[in-house]
Amino acid sequence: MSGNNPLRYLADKEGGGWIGYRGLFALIFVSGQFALFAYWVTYTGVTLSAGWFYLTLIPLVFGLLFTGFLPGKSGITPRTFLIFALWAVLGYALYDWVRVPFNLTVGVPFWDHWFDWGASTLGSQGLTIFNYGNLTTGLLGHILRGWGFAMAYYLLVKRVTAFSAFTFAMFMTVFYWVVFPIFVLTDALPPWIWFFVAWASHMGFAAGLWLAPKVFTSLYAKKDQKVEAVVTTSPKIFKNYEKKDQKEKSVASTYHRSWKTTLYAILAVQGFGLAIGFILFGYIVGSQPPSSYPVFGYGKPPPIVIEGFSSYYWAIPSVIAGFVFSYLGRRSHPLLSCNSCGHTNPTEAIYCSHCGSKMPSED
Amino acid sequence: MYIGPYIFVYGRTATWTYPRIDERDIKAFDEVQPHINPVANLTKVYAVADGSEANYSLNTGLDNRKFLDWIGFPLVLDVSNYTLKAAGVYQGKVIFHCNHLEADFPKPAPSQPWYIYQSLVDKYDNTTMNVPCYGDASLINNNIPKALLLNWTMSGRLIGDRNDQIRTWTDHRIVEIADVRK
Repeated sequence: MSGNNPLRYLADKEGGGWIGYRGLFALIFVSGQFALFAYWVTYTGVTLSAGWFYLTLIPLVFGLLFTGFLPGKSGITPRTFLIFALWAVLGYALYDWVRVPFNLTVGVPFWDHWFDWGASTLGSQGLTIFNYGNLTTGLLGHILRGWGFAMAYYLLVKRVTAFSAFTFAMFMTVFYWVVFPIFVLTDALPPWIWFFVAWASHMGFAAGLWLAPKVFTSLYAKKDQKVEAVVTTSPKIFKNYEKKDQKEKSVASTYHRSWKTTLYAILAVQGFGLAIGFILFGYIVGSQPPSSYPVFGYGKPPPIVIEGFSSYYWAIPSVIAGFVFSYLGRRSHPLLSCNSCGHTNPTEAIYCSHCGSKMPSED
Repeated sequence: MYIGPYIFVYGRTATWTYPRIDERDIKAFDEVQPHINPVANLTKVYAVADGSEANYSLNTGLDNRKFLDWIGFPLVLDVSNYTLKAAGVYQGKVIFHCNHLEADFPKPAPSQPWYIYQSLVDKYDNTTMNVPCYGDASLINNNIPKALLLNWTMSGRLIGDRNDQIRTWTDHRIVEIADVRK
């Protein structure tokens, strides 16, 4: 297979691709979500404590043992895990930060289910689930799952880009849009603002995924000016981290995507994702009688209620936007980076406009 | 930066969530009203070893169980250990007496679809039941009183989202007797 073949990354023996170490480690880190998913789809019939045990703890232990059967080397070191772990926290912090102003302005609470999750995890038996023990347990489970998703992202992607971060977060948003109203908010009709808050917070998560390597690399660079900003997660490049530690020369990836291509691609994914959201919102609102209770908010309907948003027709312009931005993304040209100075140039350039060195071919 | 949202959550829980829950629980406790049907049914008269006995049925329970929780979500108050003690008195004689315990009132489960749940909340807002009462039938052999004075005491443990309260009501009222024997 050629070096640019994307399929190579799926089963990269040296780097441990998706069908290998990276996929397995990613599954292990998102296993907290499996526990919650079982709790949701059984309408709380499977307790979270059982879910954590059977779908998180046991897969974690046996998953680690299973790595012994995988061929090749993972290229993922404890140091890699540590770096990803630090990066992953930023995405989740931004996710929850985005929801703070929504609570203050429109009253949508984002910790109401943490009490339920905590009580189901601890098996609390008592008068009320509303205590700090349940809240703390639910909070820790919430962080573990979100942080685990961020870890999975860094493990799965070859390179941290805005496009992949926003695509990953859009996938999470759609998952949230589908599962929550159907299996979790079964006894309430989520208003439009609920869907919007879910989308906005996941976009904050995406921004955190994308920014974390830059932020941490720049912090690291302050201590050692020889280290260049490297935002790849490839194990091959992580060998370079080790080289850097040994004061050896680092090697940077030559691939760059123009900001226009990135922007158009992100907007295309947003368009298609929002179309799914509008269809779901239309289905959920249209399939049930109107609620006479102002669920969420300060005991009154949220200020942003747009009746027309329950229409399936809103999906049409979203899909059109998705196709238009896809077309624009394909039309925009990617950039290549000079091997000598790192300066970015158009793909058709033969020589670097900055240092005059011959540019690498696209192949 | 990292722990900010969680400090916010604990702060809001202490200053918004819990006070809001407490306020709504107390309001819900206060709004619950006892329910006594103004008509008691005479359902059966039968012979016993040393005379005869009459069975009555009195519809009773609690109204206004429905309330909105801290996020505006409709719930019904949990009611446990509901008791009714009553005595129907006519011309100084106890015609019948009631002594009933209901362990738990029905309530909707939290995992039903919205359109089913909402109708169940409305259904259980006013929860009543037919409580059996007993009396000496010889007192009504010749003349069934059309109305009598019912002295009653009702109590129950009301359980909200975060609080509970034992409420007791005592009162008396005129109750008609309807002979519904076939």
